[in-house]
Amino acid sequence: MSDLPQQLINGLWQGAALALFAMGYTLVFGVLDIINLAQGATYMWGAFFAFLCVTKLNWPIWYAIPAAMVGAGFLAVLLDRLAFKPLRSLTSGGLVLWAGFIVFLLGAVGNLSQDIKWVTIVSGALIMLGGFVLDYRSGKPLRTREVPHLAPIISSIGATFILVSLAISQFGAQVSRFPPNLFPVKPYNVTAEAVISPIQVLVLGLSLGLMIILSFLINRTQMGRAIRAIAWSERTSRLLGINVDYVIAQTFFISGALAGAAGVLLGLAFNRLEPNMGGEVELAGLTVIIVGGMGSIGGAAIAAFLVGMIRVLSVAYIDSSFRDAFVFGLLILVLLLRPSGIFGRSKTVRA
Amino acid sequence: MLVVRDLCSSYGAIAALKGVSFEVPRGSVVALVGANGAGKSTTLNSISGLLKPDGGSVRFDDREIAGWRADKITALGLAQVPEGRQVLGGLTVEENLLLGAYTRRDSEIGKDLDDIYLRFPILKNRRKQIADLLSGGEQQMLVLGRALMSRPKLLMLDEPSLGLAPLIVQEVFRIISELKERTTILLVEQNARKALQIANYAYVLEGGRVAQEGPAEELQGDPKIVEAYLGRKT
Repeated sequence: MSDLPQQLINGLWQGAALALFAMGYTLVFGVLDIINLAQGATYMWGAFFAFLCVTKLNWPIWYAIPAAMVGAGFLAVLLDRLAFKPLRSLTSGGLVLWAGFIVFLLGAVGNLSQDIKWVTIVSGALIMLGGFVLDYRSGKPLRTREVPHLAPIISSIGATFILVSLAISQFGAQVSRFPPNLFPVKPYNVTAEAVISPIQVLVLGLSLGLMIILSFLINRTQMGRAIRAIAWSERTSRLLGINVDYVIAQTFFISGALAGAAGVLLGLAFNRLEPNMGGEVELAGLTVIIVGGMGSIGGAAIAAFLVGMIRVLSVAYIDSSFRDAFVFGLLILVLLLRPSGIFGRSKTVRA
Repeated sequence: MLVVRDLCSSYGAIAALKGVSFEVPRGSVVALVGANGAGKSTTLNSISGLLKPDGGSVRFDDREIAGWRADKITALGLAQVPEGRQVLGGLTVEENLLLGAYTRRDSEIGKDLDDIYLRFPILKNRRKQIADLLSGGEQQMLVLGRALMSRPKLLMLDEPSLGLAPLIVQEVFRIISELKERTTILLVEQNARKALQIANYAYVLEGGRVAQEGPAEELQGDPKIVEAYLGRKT
């Protein structure tokens, strides 16, 4: 057990990155009551956005990280418009958006000659832009009846397939790596034996910083209050003058940006990017938000550290093949003892 | 200030409003009274945009707003206090009040918040509490305060006395009569006696239509109204 301090450090920075991912996850759940299973794919694309910025555009990593967050944020907004918004209220603009998306996909993965390929991609993107604007401005839904509760989960699984396939078509199924020497490799000594590398310091510091910013945004700004107001009652929020559609888009943007940040940071720390990297964090994140209490942002942050620690310690001291078993053991334990999660409030107290 | 003409609304196939027309002049208190299901709340919801009207016109400050989105209508200065209070229960009292000022961008929000606390001292004592924990009367104060935070030109109150103890009802009406010095009010009430005492003018709704209208004092003396809505004094 002499390497315990080292393992605790590892659990800490991995937990911090997991917390970013899970807070975005739980934020969307709190507002819309949907589990966005495509959060893992957004995480993966965040990592690849940074990868593109560094390898194709030769940007320094300090620009690539925020760029990846913005990219992942917009991706999440687009995802909402494609996979979730049509279920809440389908508009003619939404259909145009979908048509544009299909054209875009044809251009991106279709077996076309180079010129036609770009024409298709660009025209698809333009149609999507038009559809997006139409969808946003139109107040008249084509259908008003409610869809089954499972529908958003299914459509987010579908979105994951599309996003992962797109990544495979662009980057291949193999592991991609950031160029070496982005960061100094000489680790800092925390104790005599325990070390932390500069990249791990970055992961920890940036994650904690983003957590503080998120908590400020949610608790101290009108935007954050509006997000929580919609989580409570959409109807009352409208009467207060809140543009619900816009605030939902903001929520998805924040959620996606956090997932993207987690993706870049963990991608950098392990220097391993692959199209399927979202699946694993997806499951860990799901455990985190259930353990923390669905919709509770603070709960998600704390549960993320707990899950991060369990993952690291079970690999270090038991067996790496049992890692997920311990994570799910925690999940089952919490579900048995406190089904609403450690920090969740059960909804039955509402009169 | 508000002119409603031939407003029609329906829930699916059921017509709830069959051509309602009325006016709310600036600076007045207008009451809509009527029995359960007469269309009072539907009228308010159709004006505020929670419900899309099927037909008719709603002019607010000489602007046609029928069919607009609710948040845009609120931004024009038309605040609805919905039936059943509808506080944002998971947020604190102060956060509820601050969200009342969501459409505002000026610098006097803090000053207005102090004003509200002066008017409703109970809210000040509980400003950090979750709104769900307030009593019914306190929640009614909170939603009134929240609506005032938007500095509304027109305040639409939907059944402000519903489900409150008699003493609290008196308190609520005392506050409403104070508010009428500052803003125009459209009041929907089942408690017709109280509503007519406070209003300048009133409309009686029946089956989604205006059945009668007149100055509030006149309606108070009308034997038919007394019979149907006020009951005999005991």
